[in-house]
Amino acid sequence: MAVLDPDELFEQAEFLVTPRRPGPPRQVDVRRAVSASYYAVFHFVCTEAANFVIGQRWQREARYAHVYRSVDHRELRSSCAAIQATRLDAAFDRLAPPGGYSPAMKQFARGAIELQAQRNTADYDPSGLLRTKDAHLTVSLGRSTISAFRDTDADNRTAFLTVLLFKRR
Amino acid sequence: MLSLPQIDAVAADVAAASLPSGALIRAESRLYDGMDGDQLRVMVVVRDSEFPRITGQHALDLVDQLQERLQADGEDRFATVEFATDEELAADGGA
Repeated sequence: MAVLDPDELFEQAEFLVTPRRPGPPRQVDVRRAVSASYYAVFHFVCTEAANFVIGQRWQREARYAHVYRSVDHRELRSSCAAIQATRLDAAFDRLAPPGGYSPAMKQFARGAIELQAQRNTADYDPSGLLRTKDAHLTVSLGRSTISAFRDTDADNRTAFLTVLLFKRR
Repeated sequence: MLSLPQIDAVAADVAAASLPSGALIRAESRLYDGMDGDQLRVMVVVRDSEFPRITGQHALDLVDQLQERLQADGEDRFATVEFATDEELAADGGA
């Protein structure tokens, strides 16, 4: 099991937006819940990447951490945008699985982009209030985004993780 | 590039198809200064009584289909989606 277990991050997010005192949850809690929902997906991807390159049984080794930490937010976004595009860039097209990316992989990519944008708003945009019910749905969106990835086949996962981890030259 | 009223119409169409029947009230788009420049934010307003029926998969279907439809219509800006209920907006004074 990953140290930063996505399920535990989702549980933490739900805890933060569950009322424990009269009135709506505090903005700081709503915003941390949205952020945690994105980080659940981010750490899920980091784990998949390290399992892909190094292997799960080596997760206590430095080389596992090296690959895990090589995933960054910008690369995740650009990789997701690339495979979610209606027409693939020629360089990405060559790396795509036979028959192209599956609908489930495209849904994963779209969900990850959405969650990252929501996390950016939650963490960095002080204008406006984030609503509690929207935060609840963000947690559910995160879970469905991970489910979409798990619904993909090995070809799709390999292609996506290759695009994510290895830079074009 | 589509106008905001055109984006509202696409978003309402996609939301009606993606969400449980009768949940949608309206969709409203606006521009905001995102991490990668101008981005769109679409607020999907739903009936408070129907909110518990909306799942994460509904939300994922909506955001996925919305971007696909916008791209097909020539809109390249990224659209992020927020949900609000009629009761929340009334409490904000914005319904």
